[in-house]
Amino acid sequence: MTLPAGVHAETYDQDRALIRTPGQWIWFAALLAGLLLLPLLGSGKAIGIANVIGITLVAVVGLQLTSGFAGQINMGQSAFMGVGAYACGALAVNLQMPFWLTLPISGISAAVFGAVFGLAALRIKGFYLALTTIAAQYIFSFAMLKLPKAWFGQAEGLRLDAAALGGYALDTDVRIYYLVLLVAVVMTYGAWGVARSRPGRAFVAVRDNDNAAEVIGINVFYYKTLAFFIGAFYAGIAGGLWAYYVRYVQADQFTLWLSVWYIGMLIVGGMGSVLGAIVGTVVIRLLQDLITVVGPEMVEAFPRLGGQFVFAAMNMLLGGMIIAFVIFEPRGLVHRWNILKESYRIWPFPH
Amino acid sequence: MAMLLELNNVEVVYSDVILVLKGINLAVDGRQIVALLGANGAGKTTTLKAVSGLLHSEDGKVTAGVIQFQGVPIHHEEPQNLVRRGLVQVMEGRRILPHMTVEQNLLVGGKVLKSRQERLDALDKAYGYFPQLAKMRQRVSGYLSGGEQQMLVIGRALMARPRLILLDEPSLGLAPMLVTEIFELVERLRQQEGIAFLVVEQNANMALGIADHGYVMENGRIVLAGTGRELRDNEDIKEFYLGMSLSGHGKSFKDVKHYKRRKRWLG
Amino acid sequence: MASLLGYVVNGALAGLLYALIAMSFVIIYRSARVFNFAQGEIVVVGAFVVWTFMSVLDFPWWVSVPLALGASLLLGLFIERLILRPLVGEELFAFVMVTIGLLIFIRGVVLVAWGPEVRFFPAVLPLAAIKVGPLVLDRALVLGGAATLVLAAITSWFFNRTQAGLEMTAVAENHQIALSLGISVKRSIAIAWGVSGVLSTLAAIIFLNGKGMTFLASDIGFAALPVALLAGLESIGGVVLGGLIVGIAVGLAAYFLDPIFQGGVASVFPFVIMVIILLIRPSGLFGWKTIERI
Repeated sequence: MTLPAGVHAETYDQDRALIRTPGQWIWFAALLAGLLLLPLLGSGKAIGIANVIGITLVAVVGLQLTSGFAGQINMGQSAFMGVGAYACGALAVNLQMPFWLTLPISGISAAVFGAVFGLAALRIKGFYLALTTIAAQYIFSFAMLKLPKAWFGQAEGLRLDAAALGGYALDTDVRIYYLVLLVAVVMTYGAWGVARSRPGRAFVAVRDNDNAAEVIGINVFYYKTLAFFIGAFYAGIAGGLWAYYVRYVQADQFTLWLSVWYIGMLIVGGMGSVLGAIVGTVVIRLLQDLITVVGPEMVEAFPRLGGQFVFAAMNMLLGGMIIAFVIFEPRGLVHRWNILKESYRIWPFPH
Repeated sequence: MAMLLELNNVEVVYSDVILVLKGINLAVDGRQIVALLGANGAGKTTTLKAVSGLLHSEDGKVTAGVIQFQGVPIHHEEPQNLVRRGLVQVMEGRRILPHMTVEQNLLVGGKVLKSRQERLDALDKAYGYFPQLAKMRQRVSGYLSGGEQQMLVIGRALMARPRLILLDEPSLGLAPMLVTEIFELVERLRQQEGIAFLVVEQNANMALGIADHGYVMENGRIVLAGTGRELRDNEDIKEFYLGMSLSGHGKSFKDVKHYKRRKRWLG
Repeated sequence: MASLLGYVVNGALAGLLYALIAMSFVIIYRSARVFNFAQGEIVVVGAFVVWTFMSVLDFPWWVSVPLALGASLLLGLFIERLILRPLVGEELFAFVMVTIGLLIFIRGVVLVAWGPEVRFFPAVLPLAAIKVGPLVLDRALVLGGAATLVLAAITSWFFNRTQAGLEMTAVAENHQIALSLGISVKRSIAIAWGVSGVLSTLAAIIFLNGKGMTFLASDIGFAALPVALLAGLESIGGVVLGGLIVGIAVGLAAYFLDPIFQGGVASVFPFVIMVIILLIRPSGLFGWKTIERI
């Protein structure tokens, strides 16, 4: 990260800090204020979108840690999210646990499930590992449809009551929004923490060359498992939030397609940075919502397109974006933004 | 009379922003062995890749200057056309096709030959120069030793009936005895097959031992050029590349208390 | 017991069908170093093209099928030219993601072009079942199985014995090395894509013969994955064996486990097999092991 002239660090803590200049503090404060005041500024629809973005964000940031930082391509993040959602739902419905217990437990259960795939990473590398995670999706769907109905609802799914703090129920979009916002902020900050810490550096080493990492003393097996553990933890938390937001959990909500969307968000945003995950999620989700709005209008104007057009158009959009980004800007929007900043700073020189 | 290979004021840029070669002038004539020396990062491999057309796959471009092979400009040509004309690069690091057998590797090298018979003849010739390879025809090449792999890649280059071979760091990672063998082989190929060589090497001693001409590169520029003998006798080369002090013997670290000489070509 | 035998034989035939699709994966992977996640979608496009020619335009099968094969050849070449070629020299992840993007994109296009309704695929191959002893077999599958065996033999010979095949194998090993030997990487890859387009349409004709189909038929692409993996992504001969093994295993699993789980085993069991294979022998039974020199 290039900083303006005159900014330097005198302690390690300063060096690792995320926010280094007064200007950045101001931007940050403005962002926080905007997020906190969103319910007042925006309509109900905006809050709904914000909720979905927030929940997706947690899952995608976790995926960034596993795939972008540690290089373990994970096409099963949606299944991990599903495990979290089902854990949350099953505990809430059957044992009436409150949300501040079920959320962490859903995180942990998803994390354990994910860690199993980390174990597989001992033997299976790179692309084959991605295929294993695809298998996870199918196995998850199958399992959720066959496990005991009383606990997991099978094909009918689980219905949850709203999350409640004492007597105060989080049963409107706005109330859930603040929970989602809090969790998302905490998890994102945690992700930056992981990225800048020792495990974060170990992840990057494993990603770049796992043989070399092993040789210099990094326990590659441990860190690969940890990468899946953490990534799946995030997915589980996201799943729990989803369960309380939609208040209905069913295996069909967590498909391979959703996992692919998440990877798509990473590609568009940029792999290898937490900011990339955030940017990618926001951009893709907003585009999705745009299509949901514009789509029906287009179908009215061109009936030939058919009722499925919205769904089809989303597919074409995401597919097209992934292809375009991989060909033209494989490092994502964050990289493009960095290049823009750099060219602005050194203008009028070309390099 | 045009030289076999000529580079005139060649500039190469990577990713549109990194200038790696800053005006290279270099020539190789038929049946000549030319050495290209320099420290790591000087741009030697880039020079070879600019000639053989492999820059594109690394997002590199020749942005100025001309490269001519047999009098024809080739700096925008595709690699496969160059191989057909007799210009073959042997990349650094013993780039065999690891899952294919020795014989399959060699046959693939003969891609430019038109008929099966020509390929078989070329195969026999290659085995003639590398009897060790003949004994291991069906061995999967990934499991060969370093020296055997180096022979395989040179044999593979031979299959294309080249006029000029660009040899990138042939001594890398090989035992000294093998290195001597390889260089003797290069000399033999020059004499018996009439092939010219442009050899990039860190092992200046060996390279200058067989080179007719040599160039020294640093930071993307040629800083010294001359015949093999001139370079071997040059004081700066002796100091910085051959490890000899003023007295002509190996350098003793007792002498390196403070640097008495600096490279004359900086400035 | 006849029932068990029936499951096994039908499983084997289904396995050979998966092997045909898996061959498309393997041919592309072997030549272009690309794992084409979109293969299932290409199968569906091929199927819809045949359907359009035969059911909408009323062309006879001996016109429609060659036209459709030609169309899928062109589709393969088109994809290679427009999308894969700009990526020559990039790392594996880029290719993986591009084919995934392609998968999603084509699905969208199929939906827009042909809609989500169930269509009836014409019976190009004769529908009459074949009776072998106590077993009733789907004629299309039997013919398809035979075709798969023949095609596998031809392609295997091609890649290991002919100069052109060796060159394509060199491309699969390493693009840069292949370039330095004078091989046209672009051409090899284009050929691979074209051929696998054709194979996919053939698979579609066999698979959907006389049955209903929707855009979801592309899931067969994912079901063929375990077969490709079991074989090892570089081995064509292994694909046939892999298909048989997976097919029979799935048949057996369905026979024994369906009663316990109330069905659905056949769709998930291939993936269980895949995970087991990857754990025991990641490069598959016949694939290229990673030869790493440290």
